[in-house]
Amino acid sequence: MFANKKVFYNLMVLLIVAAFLVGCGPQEAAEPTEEEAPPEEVATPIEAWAAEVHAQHEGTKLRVSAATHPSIEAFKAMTPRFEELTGIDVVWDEMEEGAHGQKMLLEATSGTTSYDVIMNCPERLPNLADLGYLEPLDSWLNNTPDWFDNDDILLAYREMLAYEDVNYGVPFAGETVFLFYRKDLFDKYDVEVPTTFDEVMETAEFFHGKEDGLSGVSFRCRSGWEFTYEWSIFIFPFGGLMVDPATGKPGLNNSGTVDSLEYMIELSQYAPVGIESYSFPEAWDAFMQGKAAMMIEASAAAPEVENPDSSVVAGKVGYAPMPAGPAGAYSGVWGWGFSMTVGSENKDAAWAFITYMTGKATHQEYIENGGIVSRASMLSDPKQQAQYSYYQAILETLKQAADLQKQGLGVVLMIPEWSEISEIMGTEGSRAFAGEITAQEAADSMQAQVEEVFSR
Amino acid sequence: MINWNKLRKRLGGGALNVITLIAVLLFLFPYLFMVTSAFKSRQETFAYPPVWIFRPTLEHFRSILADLDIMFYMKNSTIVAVASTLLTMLIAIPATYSFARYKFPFKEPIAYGFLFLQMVPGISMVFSLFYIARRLQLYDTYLFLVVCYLLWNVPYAIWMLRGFIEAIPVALEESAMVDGCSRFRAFLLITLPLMAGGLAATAILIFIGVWNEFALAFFLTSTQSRTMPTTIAFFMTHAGIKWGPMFATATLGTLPVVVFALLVRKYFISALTFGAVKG
Amino acid sequence: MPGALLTYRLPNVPIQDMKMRGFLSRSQRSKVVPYVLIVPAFAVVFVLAVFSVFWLIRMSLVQWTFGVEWQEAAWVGLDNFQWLLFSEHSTFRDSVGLTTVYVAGTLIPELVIGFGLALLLNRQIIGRSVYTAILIIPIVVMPSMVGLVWRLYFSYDGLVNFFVETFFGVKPNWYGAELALPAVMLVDIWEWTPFFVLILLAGLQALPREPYDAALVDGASNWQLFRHITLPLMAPLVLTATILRFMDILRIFAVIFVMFGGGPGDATTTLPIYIYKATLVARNVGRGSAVSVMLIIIIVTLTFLLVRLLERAKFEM
Repeated sequence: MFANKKVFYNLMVLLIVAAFLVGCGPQEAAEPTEEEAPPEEVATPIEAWAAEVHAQHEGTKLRVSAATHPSIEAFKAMTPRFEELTGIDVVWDEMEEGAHGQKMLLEATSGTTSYDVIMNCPERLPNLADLGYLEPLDSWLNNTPDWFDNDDILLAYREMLAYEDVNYGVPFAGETVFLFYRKDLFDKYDVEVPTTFDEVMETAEFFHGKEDGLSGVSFRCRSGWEFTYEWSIFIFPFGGLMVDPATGKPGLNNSGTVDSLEYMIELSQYAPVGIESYSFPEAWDAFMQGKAAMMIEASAAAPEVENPDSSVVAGKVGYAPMPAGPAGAYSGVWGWGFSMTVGSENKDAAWAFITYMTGKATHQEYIENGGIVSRASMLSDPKQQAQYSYYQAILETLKQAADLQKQGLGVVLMIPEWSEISEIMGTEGSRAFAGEITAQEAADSMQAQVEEVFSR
Repeated sequence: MINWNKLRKRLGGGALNVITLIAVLLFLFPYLFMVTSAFKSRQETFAYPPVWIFRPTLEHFRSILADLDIMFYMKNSTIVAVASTLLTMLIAIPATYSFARYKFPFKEPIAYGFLFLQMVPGISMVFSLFYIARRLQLYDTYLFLVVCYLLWNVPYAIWMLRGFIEAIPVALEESAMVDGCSRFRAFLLITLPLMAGGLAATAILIFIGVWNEFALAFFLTSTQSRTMPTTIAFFMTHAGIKWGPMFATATLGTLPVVVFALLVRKYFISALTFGAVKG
Repeated sequence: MPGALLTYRLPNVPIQDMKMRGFLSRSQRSKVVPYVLIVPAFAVVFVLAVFSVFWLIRMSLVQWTFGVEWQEAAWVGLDNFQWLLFSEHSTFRDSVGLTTVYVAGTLIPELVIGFGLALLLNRQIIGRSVYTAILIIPIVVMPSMVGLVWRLYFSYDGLVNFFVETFFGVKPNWYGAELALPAVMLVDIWEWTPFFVLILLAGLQALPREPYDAALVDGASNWQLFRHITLPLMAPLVLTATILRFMDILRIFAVIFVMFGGGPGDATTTLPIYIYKATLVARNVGRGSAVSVMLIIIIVTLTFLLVRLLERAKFEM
């Protein structure tokens, strides 16, 4: 009895202490912070606009769903000022990309929504649009403030968020894939920047093990959508196909596709050990910690690579467009944008949020906070180009992506079944990559499974 | 002869003691390393060979407390875990009493039924539960999580508490009732206090189970009721995996439970062993 | 009775027909009360479980990949099951194989090491309470955090390779297809061996002295003592602990998901991960539900068999 009592009291004390600790913590996720007094000059157009919004929507709570991404970091940094100007309270729900996609799909299927604004990408757009989850934005886009300038956003990015001729999203971060390389190492060993995939293989072989802990090349290939993402870059330069645009049938086991897979497998021997399980953070980390001489990865990595706080190679990196394979040099366009949900009750406030965050007037601030550039004016501005050395590569790879699209091909199939197909490709491809099966077997298996998906 | 044995025992004991020490340290070490890594700078985390001596930094803890608002998630975890435990005990205790003290038809099938009903894997239920939650407007609420956890917690609690109740002689209750107590009062005033150890033990295990639960919490919560285990999602970012803040969060998330379990370890162990340990 | 399964001693015999005061007749009330007490628990568990299982079965019989309301999904009967079990492109059988390897590869080492460590701790050593306290830690640490932490440890330049290289001179690639599953299994062993240690230690400490004294008088060796006295007496507890662990191990999701997500390739796609990939990633809910149904059947059947085994062991004691 005695021992019981003592422990009981101990427990009570602990619980009370815990309650105190918990109760004293900050409450809500995002609260408006105090800012310096706004400048005394005449209100800028944005401030005037914001004052109107403030009058109408002060106190509205906006729920935004996002996946972790450099641009989201930038937006979060810009949020306090937005909240102060407009009186709208922004609540961010941020999570890992894969989980985010699943959440969005689950939401859309169940017919109700807990978000006003969501982060969206072309891979998920068909599903979400078909389920009636997304608000068509064409009418909203006709009604934007002057400082927004929709046409300034790169056309390729705007197109990727349109489905069946309806606009569903405002892009804020487009990305392509290009080649990152260590200028310092290339200069040291007097190596030329590779322009074909064969040269990439040679260069990777050359650098692999050249210095302590150095690998030739780094890229993501974790089983699933990540593998598909990376592999889709290799497919087309080798003449491979996902779906034949002429027939509409899957072409995953044509020789070009198999070649691309085999190439990737061969290339992986010059990659850091353990690459089979690398997610993109790990692939980027390998390059940023100086463990790889090259990286074939998303342009979204570039700002971090140039960030001296997280990257030891900042300032030593060169950027090149995608090398050419036997069938040409291509890149792909992916990206992210904001969409509004049909079920939102705060659409005006949501639209205010979207325009503020993606508008031309705030684009400079957005980039300075680490956001990914998505506007033509920024990309072609020579001053910007001098400061951000990868802008040139982005422009060039956008051209390469356009070349691909001219042939009716794309790195993402804008159909509702894409997620299942991407998973099939990503799993079978990863199995070949890990050595469980051969590339040909993987391609055949994929072909059969995708044919089955199409036939439903 | 006896001296030989004693000598062998001492030497043999020595060697075995060392082995025991090493074995136990093997279990402790990964956790210790994790906690100490929370104080390392980013470069030191990646260093190979690993860095053993370093100057500690509190930067990661500062960043998760301020930027990530980790206390919010701790609060959520606490609320969900405490509510789960209380609700589970409230529901399970009467049922256990019934199993332990009464005899009625279908008693054993029902008891086994509980055991088998809770074998549904959590991940299988995510999709259907998500759907229900949205329809009932209960998505992302504490209530829904707590109710869902009941499916596993209640059978578990019944199962464990039954042994504890049965270990208390019925004669005690009977004598109280002979003296004029109602059954309920007898239970409340005599049996329950005697079971306190078992109650505490069960409550602890349930609390820890809910605190650590991942699959349901991950998919059924969004902004308002996210719990600690789901915070790992924040660390797989564009800037590489943020190991520093991750270790700090892991430390903060697991340390309360570890400390708690250590404080009440007598009950924790008896929970695991259903009273096979005396006292 | 479940209580008997899990306590080390036999339970008291409960009293029949207790008399109670109140307005229902005594015998009436005593018949109703036990059920009344169970109702809340039963209602909650039954509703949740039956609903889930029913829904899973219902969904496993349709072809549904999002895009339409679930009521309109095409009915395909047992096609999903057929595809999973027999199609040449199905990796379901591989997943079952992987799960089997996982279960055997963790339960057996955990049991053996656990028993060994329990025996070691059963001796008169100083600091035993500190050791048992330390051993609690791996059990209570959050699985999702554990997964992420061990992911770093198993990286090529991680903690594990540091020791492996120091002691064995090789630096294996744990992220590769051959070693990913062993890596995950090692984490499980780290996490749950203490579970066995603590339970078995308690059991060892509750063993009666008399058989040992008697055997020692007869001149038995240590090994004989172990084999003929300790093992048989501990058998029911060992089985009980195994059953407890077994039920959970077939449902493990968090650690594997965080560490490898089922990859590389299919190397760590155990059944729960398979369900996750099918339902939430490939979004083929019909298929995912079918796998869930089969997994539940497997868990229930095997646990049932194990429990029967346990009852027989107790009976023979």
